Amino acid sequence: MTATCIDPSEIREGDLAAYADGEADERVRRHVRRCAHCAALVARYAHTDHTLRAGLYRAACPPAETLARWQLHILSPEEELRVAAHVRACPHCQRECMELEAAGDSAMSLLLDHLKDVTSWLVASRTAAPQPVRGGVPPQQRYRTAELDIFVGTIVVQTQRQLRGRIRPPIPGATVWLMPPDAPPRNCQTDITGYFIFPDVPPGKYSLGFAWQGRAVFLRDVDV
Amino acid sequence: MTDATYSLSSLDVDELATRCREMSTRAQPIALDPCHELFRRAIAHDDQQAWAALYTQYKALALHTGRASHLDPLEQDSLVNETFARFSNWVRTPAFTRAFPPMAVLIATLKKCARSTAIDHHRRWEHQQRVAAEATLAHPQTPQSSGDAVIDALFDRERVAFLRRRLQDDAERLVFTLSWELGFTPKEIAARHADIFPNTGAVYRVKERILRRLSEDPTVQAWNL
Ligand SMILES: [Zn+2]
Ligand SMILES: [Zn+2]
Repeated sequence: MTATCIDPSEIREGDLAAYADGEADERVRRHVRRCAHCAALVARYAHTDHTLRAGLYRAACPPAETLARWQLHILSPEEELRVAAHVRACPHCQRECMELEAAGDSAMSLLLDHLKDVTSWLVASRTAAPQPVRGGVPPQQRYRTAELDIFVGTIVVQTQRQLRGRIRPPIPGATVWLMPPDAPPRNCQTDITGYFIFPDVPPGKYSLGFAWQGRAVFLRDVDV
Repeated sequence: MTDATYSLSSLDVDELATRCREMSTRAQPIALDPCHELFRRAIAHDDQQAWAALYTQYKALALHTGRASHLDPLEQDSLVNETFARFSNWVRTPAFTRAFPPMAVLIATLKKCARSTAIDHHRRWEHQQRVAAEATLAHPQTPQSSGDAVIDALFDRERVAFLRRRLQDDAERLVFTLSWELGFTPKEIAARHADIFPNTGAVYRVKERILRRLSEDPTVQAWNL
């Protein structure tokens, strides 16, 4: 390696790491082209970066078997705490936990396949007492999570059954998935008021999924 | 216990397995479940013949839940074997042995088992891909030459602990975890922790400090990718 940099004033700390990632701006690229010292440093940093990427990626993640045991509450209390702390911080394990939760539920598994970027996942519970809502949503079924209410109902328009619903507080632009038991899923988007509609839905039991910004909510046994 | 359960428990495993197979083709489950009795014999009495019958009966379910139907037969066998090995371990824990679980719980557990096995298989595959890709990037001129030196396993605890001891403050520990253990880009890290890193450049400054220190460390240099 050449002993010194040709002009240290042109380079700031972090520039060479960014260069190694292909993220440096033209000022840095010009410097590295001219400076053998910095070019050699970039090569060293890149090599170390690749070694760390290969050796460390998910090295701290408990095996999926441990995640499954954690869900079944068959870990020791100390292990349980350790896994819980890890899962809170690790989106990869959160995702795998969702896949494990969905293992016994084909609709949920199918939905997960469509929602690759989702890392936060809730199953909404159906509540007994539906509240009337304004805006044309027949108040037949109500689902809740800690933060959301979801109302769904069926309405017949000129012999055609429609499934309509609304998320409150409204989440505009969420993708809504409708999953019939034996047919491919369909999807639509919520409008600015959190309202959505599926036309032409044959009677039956459906699962519904809502996804927005890496989060998803799942509804089971929605009657149409 | 009813007369009918007496009669189930008096059947041998072959007869139970036949009835279990027949039953699984019926539309309606029946109250007395020969499949459940097979599980009971296998788990409560560790009856090897019952385990073998369960293996035959539920292999397809394990492959389906593990989404392994596309694998070649050898890989399929290894996945199903591992699934059953895990399952027999899990169901020996007190949570299961205190009261023998109903059929729905056994099946749900077996499915979770199959999925966890498939995820662990996938992780190993993903890791091999990653190592191969990083080795190619680390040695762009000689993509295959470092084959012998390629790390085929993740760093063990000692290596990780060794690296962690070389970190000097909380910001470095955070960047280390997020960049290399969890695979976030500096841009994603800055977005997630705007309170600590006002911009991507701030993440790169910390990352470069770590890379400089580790790339000068003879021990780390010896871990050739
Ligand atoms: Zn320079
Ligand atoms: Zn993890």
